[in-house]
Amino acid sequence: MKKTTREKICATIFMCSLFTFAGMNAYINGGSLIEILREQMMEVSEVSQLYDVTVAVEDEITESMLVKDAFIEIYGGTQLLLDKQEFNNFSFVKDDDGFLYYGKTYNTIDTEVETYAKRVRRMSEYVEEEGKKFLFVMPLDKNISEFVSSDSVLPISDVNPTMDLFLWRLNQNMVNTLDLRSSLVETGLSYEELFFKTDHHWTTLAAFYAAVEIVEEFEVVWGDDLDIDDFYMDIENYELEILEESALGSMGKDVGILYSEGYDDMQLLTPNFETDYSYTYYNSSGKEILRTGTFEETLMFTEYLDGSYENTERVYLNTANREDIIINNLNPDGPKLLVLRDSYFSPVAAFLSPLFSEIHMVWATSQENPGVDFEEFLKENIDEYDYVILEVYSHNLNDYSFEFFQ
Amino acid sequence: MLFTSEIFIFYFLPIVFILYYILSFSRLAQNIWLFIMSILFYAWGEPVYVLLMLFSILINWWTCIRMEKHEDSEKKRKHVLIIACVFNLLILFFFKYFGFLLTSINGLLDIALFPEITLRLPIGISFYTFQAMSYVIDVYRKQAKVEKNPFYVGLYIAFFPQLIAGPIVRYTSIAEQIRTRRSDYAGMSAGISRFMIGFTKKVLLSNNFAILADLIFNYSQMGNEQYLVPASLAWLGMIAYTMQIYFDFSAYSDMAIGLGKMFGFDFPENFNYPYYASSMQDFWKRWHISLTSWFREYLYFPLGGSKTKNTDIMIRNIFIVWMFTGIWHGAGLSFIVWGLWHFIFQLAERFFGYGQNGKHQIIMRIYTMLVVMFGWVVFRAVDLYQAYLYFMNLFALNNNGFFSEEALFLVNEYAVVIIIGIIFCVPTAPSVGAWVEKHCKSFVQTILQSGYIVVLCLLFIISLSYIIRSGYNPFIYFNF
Repeated sequence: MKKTTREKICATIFMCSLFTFAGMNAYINGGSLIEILREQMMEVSEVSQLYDVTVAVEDEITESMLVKDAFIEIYGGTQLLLDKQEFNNFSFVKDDDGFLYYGKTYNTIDTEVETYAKRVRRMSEYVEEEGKKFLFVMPLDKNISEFVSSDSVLPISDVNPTMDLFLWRLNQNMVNTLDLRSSLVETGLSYEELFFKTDHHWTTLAAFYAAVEIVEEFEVVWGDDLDIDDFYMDIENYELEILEESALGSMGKDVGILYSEGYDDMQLLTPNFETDYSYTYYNSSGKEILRTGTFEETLMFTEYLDGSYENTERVYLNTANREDIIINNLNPDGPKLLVLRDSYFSPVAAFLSPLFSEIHMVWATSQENPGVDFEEFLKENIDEYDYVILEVYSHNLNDYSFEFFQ
Repeated sequence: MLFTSEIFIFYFLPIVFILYYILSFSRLAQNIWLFIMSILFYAWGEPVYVLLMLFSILINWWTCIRMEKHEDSEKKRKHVLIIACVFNLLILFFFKYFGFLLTSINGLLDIALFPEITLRLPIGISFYTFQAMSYVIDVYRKQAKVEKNPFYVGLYIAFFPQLIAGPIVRYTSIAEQIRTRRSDYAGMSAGISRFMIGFTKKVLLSNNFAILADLIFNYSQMGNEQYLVPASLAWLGMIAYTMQIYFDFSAYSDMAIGLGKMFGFDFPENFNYPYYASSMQDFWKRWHISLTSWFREYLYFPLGGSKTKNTDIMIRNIFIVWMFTGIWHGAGLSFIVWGLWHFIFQLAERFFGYGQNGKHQIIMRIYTMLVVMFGWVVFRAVDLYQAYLYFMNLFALNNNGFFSEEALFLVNEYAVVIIIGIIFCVPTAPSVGAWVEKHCKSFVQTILQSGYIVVLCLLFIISLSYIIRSGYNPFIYFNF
């Protein structure tokens, strides 16, 4: 075979496949692309904004690319073949056991948390002035020193020093805090039982024990024993079902199934006792939805267990609602809890719900819940509640999560 | 617009290509189509500065028209040439060097005499300005005819394959092709294959080396108080950058040459395995050949070149060329020092004659690579102080030690990329190709050629997955 023949074959394959693919892609996505272009052009009031138009169009092209998932799998499969632990310029790192982490080549302590600590102190003071009880809850990060060696050369993002500084500042400011890092490790759960391999979230079991720790903290700090009979916080009163290889977390979706090397097991924990709830939530588009019935019928979104693997981690409270109101119809005289939180708290709230007559939660980061004044929200609602919890996950220790009491 | 972007691959290229061949009935229509799409290509990345480029095209077209009108007056022709050159150089100076000059004066005087001016550098301004000057000078020298059609001048200056990062095509080498080029399937196929090779080189090699180089140079930039860069890590960073810049720029040239061929143009080669050079003089015959040729043709020879008997003048000429080569690459002292670094070794090789007798090839290649790599450290560092710190790290003079677990980890992570990079930055592929042709039977050759097709297509698909999944896609020469 001559070189020219080889080149002709290459060219023919290139033209046939690329142009066909490009044509199909343009046919399917061309309309939305033109729409984006039109919308962006409408917003242009000065020439320099034309740069934004091109960026928006290119973003849309990437986002809507035909068979994008297949390309992600090809990329992930290539990284797997190359035996890479670092993924996509240190966006993610995979350890020898297959756990995915956020990557960071140089970890620093974010001293901005000192500012956030002051805001939390002001929030705490306000709540206590109103005669209510305030607790700051810090979930554990996936990078746990007991399981992930700090000597490891893997460039894993480590926010623990920042968390330490933040909690130290809060304690200096006399804010009630609950650091779940050590307490959850002490439960004896293995790393696989605490965290998904393919997600940054903790598992159902970890969330349950977090709820237990919160209830214990209420007793330690204020002497409030919410679970007098030690019934609702006893795992023996729950049915544990393991759905093997049924979940692909957000990190897994980013790196693909091949690089994730399979799916995670999903733990389903359902109460063995009678429940009755009225649960209202506002989804990401602000739509109000009401569900009534048992724990499983209201607080669990079993429709995510449809075998598609996607969003399985959202089984409890849909994970990402803007606002949730859980009314426990079987405990109308119980205390009321107001929570400013992020996604980590969804399963925790589900397990706390038997102990309260009402749990009202708002997703308190301006990125996820834009346009909401969280300080105003707290002031408007404080009268109705007995306890206020502020929960912020380690990677949310940033400006977006502390836009209150500035 | 980047060649390695989804919009280029899935939208721009198919549209330009298909319509170009639909317009085969008229060369004029094809050229105007290519010009319009070239302007769109540039405007996509530079919606504001596209006007500057159009203005530059018009001025250069007009000055040559004026030159032709004064054909009988050498003096007037020279005046027009000077005006055109001053115009081109002024544009380049204003956007690329003016801010640096004011900052330097303020720094020297230690007062804020001038306000700080930070102009965004128009993409590819150094390339298209040099092309424009080539046109004007070639017309002045009567080596090329005046082009009366402004679209054709525009197509020469702004043709999208080489607009942003070269090769810097001399007008004389392309003037004929604009009007009378031949497009056939063989040429187009060669172009597509070349484009695919460049695309995969850029995405799979250069971008991966860029991750390593950027990471390690950034570590060094953080300073010793924040992060001590062990010597082994510093060496890895230097080697990674050496690979990155070669695969980045040569891949762009491959894509440019390939795209040119797809539309019937033959651009000159820009690289010839520079890291295989056995001396610094040899290196510059292999690296960015079009820029070296431009400086030789339009600066070095007019100054007298090396034919002058006066050694001082010869040294001055070489000095000027390397000074400007450095400055051309960027506004900053580090680029000037980088140019002078090359000047010193070029001069030394001329005067001491080493590397010219073909002996001690291995030692000479190692010497050349070390000189080139140390030069890249100066080139890559954000300023001279950072370059100094990096050199201290390289030789473990920062109390930084030698061994680094992180270097070991990174080498392990990027082992395949590093090995392939080393293999393909020297002429392994043509040597193997020639050996196969000479020693293997035809059916073995057919199998190997078929394998080549499969591998190239697979690598291209993997490269597409990289650009869709990975956002890390820098182009070093984009900013020159």
